[in-house]
Amino acid sequence: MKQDIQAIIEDVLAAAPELKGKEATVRRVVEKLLAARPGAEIGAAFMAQLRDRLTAEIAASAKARSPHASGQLFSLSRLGLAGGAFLGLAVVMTLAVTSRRPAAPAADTQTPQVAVGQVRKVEAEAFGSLAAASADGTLALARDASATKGEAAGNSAAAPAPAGLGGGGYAQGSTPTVIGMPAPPDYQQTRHEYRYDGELPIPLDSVEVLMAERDTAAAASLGRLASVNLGLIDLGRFSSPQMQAFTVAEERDYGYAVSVSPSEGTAYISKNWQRWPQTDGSPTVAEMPDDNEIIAVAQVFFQDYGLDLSGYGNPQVDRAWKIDALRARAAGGEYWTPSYVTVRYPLLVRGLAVYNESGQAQGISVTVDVRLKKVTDAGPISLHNYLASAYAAADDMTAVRAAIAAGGLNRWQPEGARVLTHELAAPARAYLAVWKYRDGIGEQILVPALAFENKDYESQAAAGEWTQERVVVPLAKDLYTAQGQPVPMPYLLKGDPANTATSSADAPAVDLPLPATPPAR
Amino acid sequence: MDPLREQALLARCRQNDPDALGELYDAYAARIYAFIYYKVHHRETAQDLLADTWLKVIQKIGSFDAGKGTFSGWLHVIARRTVIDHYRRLRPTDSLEDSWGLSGGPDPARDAEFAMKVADVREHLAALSPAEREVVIMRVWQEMSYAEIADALGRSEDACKVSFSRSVKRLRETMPLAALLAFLLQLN
Repeated sequence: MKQDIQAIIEDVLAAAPELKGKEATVRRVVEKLLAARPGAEIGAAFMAQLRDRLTAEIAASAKARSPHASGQLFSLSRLGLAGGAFLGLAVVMTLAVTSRRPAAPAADTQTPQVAVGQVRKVEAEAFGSLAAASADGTLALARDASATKGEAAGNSAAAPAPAGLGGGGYAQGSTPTVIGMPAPPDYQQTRHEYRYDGELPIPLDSVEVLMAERDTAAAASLGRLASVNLGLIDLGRFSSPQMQAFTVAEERDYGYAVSVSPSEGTAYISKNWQRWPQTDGSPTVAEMPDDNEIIAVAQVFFQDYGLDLSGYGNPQVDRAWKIDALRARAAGGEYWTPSYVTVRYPLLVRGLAVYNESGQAQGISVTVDVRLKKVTDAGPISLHNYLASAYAAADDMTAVRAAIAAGGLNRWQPEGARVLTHELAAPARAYLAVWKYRDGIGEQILVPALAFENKDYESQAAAGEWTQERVVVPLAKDLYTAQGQPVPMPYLLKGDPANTATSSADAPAVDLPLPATPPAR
Repeated sequence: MDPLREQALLARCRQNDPDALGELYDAYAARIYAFIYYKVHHRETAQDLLADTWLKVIQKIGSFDAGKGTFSGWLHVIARRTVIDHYRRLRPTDSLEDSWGLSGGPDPARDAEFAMKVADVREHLAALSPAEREVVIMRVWQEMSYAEIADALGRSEDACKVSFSRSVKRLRETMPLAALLAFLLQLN
């Protein structure tokens, strides 16, 4: 309850002094009766529909903007480049041409700014079927590769990616096969059941599905640079060259290297390992900086390099190592404090969070060296320009609720296993990031979705359970009408000491106290 | 909402950025809806007026001056004017600012649940001036602090406190103690 009860009571006593001395009684009455207030809760469905209407309205009212948007992907000029004219020119050209605007005045090429976070509407269902299998026989929808991490405990199923795309060599069009894997003798499968009986704010007609807009113009423009004869090889002999990626490194101590993909509109920054000292061993618990200090290191890095974080939410420090340490301590085992800690900046698209199918927030991951207190890696840093296409909204409430109950669409839950029930909170609008493969090329699409926080997540994590922090279900009808068969994860055969595969990257972000036991060395 | 983030979102809104508008909407729409609903007592009407309010926000966002007040206060001002315009359209000869000024008889444009819940205090609240009533409702039902109320109404915090105290005393004079308590404790 937000209401400051004490303040209200004081107001009451001021108006009715005869009640003084009976504050405790008044307080009990207050607490008992608060729920009877006239309800003024706005319907979630109406909220969602009005939001869509308003954002469409403001988008439609957008007038001719300046040739360059105010945002910028990043300013490579902050890097102390020593790569010569070729790389310098590449940097300037990359940042100039990725704006996808008509030819800019010459002076603009001196301003390395690009458009970010823009959404361009295209015709309805422009991305083809969102469903599991496309007509051309390729697997059209596959899970985000990261979604399968740490899920070998049987709480999830993954649609396989095409051969050569991380799917482990699955033959396209083949029937998925359940594969037996060794499990520890005491392993017991868990069936996760997620409960939510409240209102589902699903749009009435359509949802706008987003797909990252590839920037072929940038790659082609940069490709002209390839006419240079470097002596090593005459790039001019290659026809229709495109610059798919390049890397620029700072030649200084503690310098960085940035790898840019103009066509993808993404960049990764990592330490130039040749100019960084080696650090050995793990820090002690006492040496571990607190979360604020780690975030401050990341923030300073972004400021130093002019990285625009306006499309991201508040940073969060990954506390997976603390969970691991607590579990290890409970089991009487050893644990390690990490040399590197990750800070995540959650991506916001149209103000909404983006999750993968495991409910993990998408965005920039920043790795901080704990002892050096320096950022070692950051990425992916993206332009986040999207194409938006209307698709029919999900209208089969039974199917949507079934997906919620299973922890997501296409989730497989083992039969006959022990059941772990999770209560879900009221949903928030979000995007679900899924991968769509066509002709062997993966495209990430963002499908409007509902995200339900798992109310039992913290308590279950503290009890040693591996579970989802949230459940995310898509709102596009296409994904329900032609969803693929759930593919079970490899089941575990008892009798082998192989451990259940758990990933620290998927450890629940629960703020738990550090173990008092010093780390083993 | 973090003030710096709000400023950044407003700047983007002025450039017609739908994402920025969406985030501001998420932060404020429910509160503005409640503000309107407690004035009109009718769900569908409140939804229509909420939409009108936000459409005006889109049209006028360029005129918002952070130096003259907060975005929240500016939003409440627009919502308040939207409600007043609504009643002016309905009853051009009356000077109604909200549904409390209407007669207490059956009104199809008033939610039955709302009418039932406030039946005991309706008459007394209606006797307050619109400005007094506004402060009381924002304080008690919308759980707004005096600072927030002052911001929304463009008045000083002290003036709002005085208004609330005066209103409660007036209600105490006319209402049975139980009814006053029930109202202040949101029993109605």
